[in-house]
Amino acid sequence: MEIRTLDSLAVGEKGIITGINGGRTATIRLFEMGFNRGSEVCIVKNDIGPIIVSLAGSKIALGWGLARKIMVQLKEPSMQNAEAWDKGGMKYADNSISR
Amino acid sequence: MQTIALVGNPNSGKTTIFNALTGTNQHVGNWPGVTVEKKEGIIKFQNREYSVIDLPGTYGLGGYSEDEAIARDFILKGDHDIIINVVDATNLERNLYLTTLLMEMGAKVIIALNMVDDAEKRQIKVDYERLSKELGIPVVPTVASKGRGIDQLMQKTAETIGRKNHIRDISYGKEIDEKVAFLKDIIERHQIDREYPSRWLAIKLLENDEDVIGKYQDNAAFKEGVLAEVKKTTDEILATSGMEPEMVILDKRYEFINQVVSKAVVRPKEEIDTISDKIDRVVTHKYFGIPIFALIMFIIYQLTFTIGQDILGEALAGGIEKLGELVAGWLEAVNSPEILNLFIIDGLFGGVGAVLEFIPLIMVMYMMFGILEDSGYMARAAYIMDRSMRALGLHGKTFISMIIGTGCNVPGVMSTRTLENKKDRMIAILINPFMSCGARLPIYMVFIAAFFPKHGGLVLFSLYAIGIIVALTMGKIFSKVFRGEESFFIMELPPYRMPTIKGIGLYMWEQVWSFVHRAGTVIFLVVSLLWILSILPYGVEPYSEDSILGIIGSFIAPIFRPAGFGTWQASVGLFAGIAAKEAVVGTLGMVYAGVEEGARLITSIQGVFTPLSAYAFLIMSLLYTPCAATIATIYKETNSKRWAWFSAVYTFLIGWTGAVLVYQVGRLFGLA
Ligand SMILES: Nc1nc2c(ncn2[C@@H]2O[C@H](COP(=O)(O)OP(=O)(O)OP(=O)(O)O)[C@@H](O)[C@H]2O)c(=O)[nH]1
Repeated sequence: MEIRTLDSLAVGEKGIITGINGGRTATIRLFEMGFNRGSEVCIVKNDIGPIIVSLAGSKIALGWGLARKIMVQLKEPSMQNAEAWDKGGMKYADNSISR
Repeated sequence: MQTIALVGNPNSGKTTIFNALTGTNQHVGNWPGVTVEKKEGIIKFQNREYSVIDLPGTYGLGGYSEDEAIARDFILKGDHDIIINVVDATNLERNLYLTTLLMEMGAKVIIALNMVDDAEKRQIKVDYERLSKELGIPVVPTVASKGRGIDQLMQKTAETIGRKNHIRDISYGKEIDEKVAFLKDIIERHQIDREYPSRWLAIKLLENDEDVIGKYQDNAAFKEGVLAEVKKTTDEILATSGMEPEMVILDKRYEFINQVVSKAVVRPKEEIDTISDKIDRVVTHKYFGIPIFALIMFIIYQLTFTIGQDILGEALAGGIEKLGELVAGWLEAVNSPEILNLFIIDGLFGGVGAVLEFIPLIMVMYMMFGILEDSGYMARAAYIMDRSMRALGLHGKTFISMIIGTGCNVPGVMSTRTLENKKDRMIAILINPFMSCGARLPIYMVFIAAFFPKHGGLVLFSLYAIGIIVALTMGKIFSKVFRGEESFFIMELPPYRMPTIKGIGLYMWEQVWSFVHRAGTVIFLVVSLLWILSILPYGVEPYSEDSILGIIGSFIAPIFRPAGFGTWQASVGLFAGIAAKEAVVGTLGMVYAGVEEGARLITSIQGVFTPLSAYAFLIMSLLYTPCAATIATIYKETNSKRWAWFSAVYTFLIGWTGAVLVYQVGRLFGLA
């Protein structure tokens, strides 16, 4: 699947973090706060202002600059899901990674 | 006495546990970064005393910001016998990162698995016995806010403190493990005098931890024997794995955590879209976010005004007045000396009493702030303001310190410690005094009651808003002046919580108590001192222009003439306000109380000020030189006398300019 930067994801889209493309301080900072390789993030808000993501059960707001440094692999293309949702209330495909 | 240190991520409940353990009432708030300094307390348990230390919350041991550095330094120094690692049960993956760092250090650790009530609600099941086994650390589940599990936690702590560690070594994969072991050997062979375990030192060296390396800079054996080997090892790892060793180690820590979590935690498949999300969708909305925030603030000021002032405040003021009359009558009856009567009636009742009248107002206002803070909304306010802040070249978290400043500028200035970047922090400190603190409320209230009784809420709101606008404008200017690298914004948004009576009560009490306390100490002293100056030289008409106080005031007064309040009384009041802001009202109350027998301050000033000059005076009071305590805090936080002086002087100039502008422009428009 394609690798994108976190800021390019739309609300509701989920991604698995594949790496951080930044300086040492930013990278370690992000790791410490849980943006480590392999964790799953879900975009809660992404319009103006900092992006809000949900990560391991908590909500974190982060600026665009940082979000652009976070590389993610898109998990659920949201369009497909949204369509499925519209077409008669089908359940979300259950492809969440089991821990 | 043995020492227990509380360590954990921000907002994991450390201070709540600290309060539960020690029976103290330290400030708890539902947002990250409430605790920015180390706090100490004592607990007596089974006839032994322990010292408990509450540290600022931290995600790791990088010490990026001042508050995190305080936590880091304390942990590394090792002046503790055991660490209680407070871990948020709803958030184990992220919280355990810090735990792994503590494990590496070989510190004696016990985990307080806090917020298990929240975890239950969200159907997150934590098998804490399993967790304990996987980590080799005792785990005690707690609900700190309800006091549950605290006894067990202390019991376990007391047991563990005297025992040997069973903490597991974390594996970083075969290659790194071997290198770590190799470096550990070298460190031990060089017999370097060190305070840390050699395995930990080896890991930190591989991680290229500057602080740790810096500690041994002067040690020749270390530099030649160890550092050279570290460099070689680092290159080898880089060559084989293509990654910096520190990244590999970070990765492996999380791998370890994920293993532990997968065994000990069961999460629901799909996180339920909680109420939290729904509220957030509204209050952080891209267009409505800021208007909603403004509306909430406006409602708070309006309620403060009607309930705190018109209803409760009037009642208390009436009560104080009655008491004053009673005491006056009694004093006359017992034939006490005239001079004492003057002091008690004018100085105490007129001056200090005028300040105390505002207790209900402070209560109501901070009760509502307490609700906002406890609910978790404050972090959202910082979030929605970030965009505007950024446009001005400021950091989003600056706004948090500004909100805290509306309580009191002292903690406001201190809370800037959470800002990682020096430049951001400096700006946040310098603009904080423009945030209107609780001590300035009495001034506003007296003048509002005298001149704008119909538009109280609006005037109050305008003052707070002007404070924010001036702060942001100055921030913009400073951001152009100071140089510094670009900073990033990252902040956890805490879950919404139902505010508890206890939490709100505590917050309110904190404010009221400090208000009463200042009234009884600083304000009392200042008013007494000024009172003496106002009846000297001997034989002068008390509180007249010919008294020493009057002479001093008349000397300053001309500079305020362009602002419309060039009276000696106003000048003396403002001057006294530098000691503490309530003293402005205290002093005015005193000097006017003596002039017309029994007249209340409000009626006295109606004859002296006009609505326009009153508003100019309010602007001056809002913006001019912060109180002595704030200046002292600025000195402490910037560690620079120059900045402390600067902050005292430039705010004065801005206050003066603002007041003059209001008065002169108002006159142009024909206001009076
Ligand atoms: N539901 C629930 N809430 C809790 C519990 N413990 C603490 N809280 C709440 O969590 C919030 C944060 O608590 P604090 O004690 O201020 O957290 P802290 O770790 O000291 O935070 P910082 O000072 O920012 O580092 C407060 O609103 C508490 O009331 C708990 O066990 N359950």
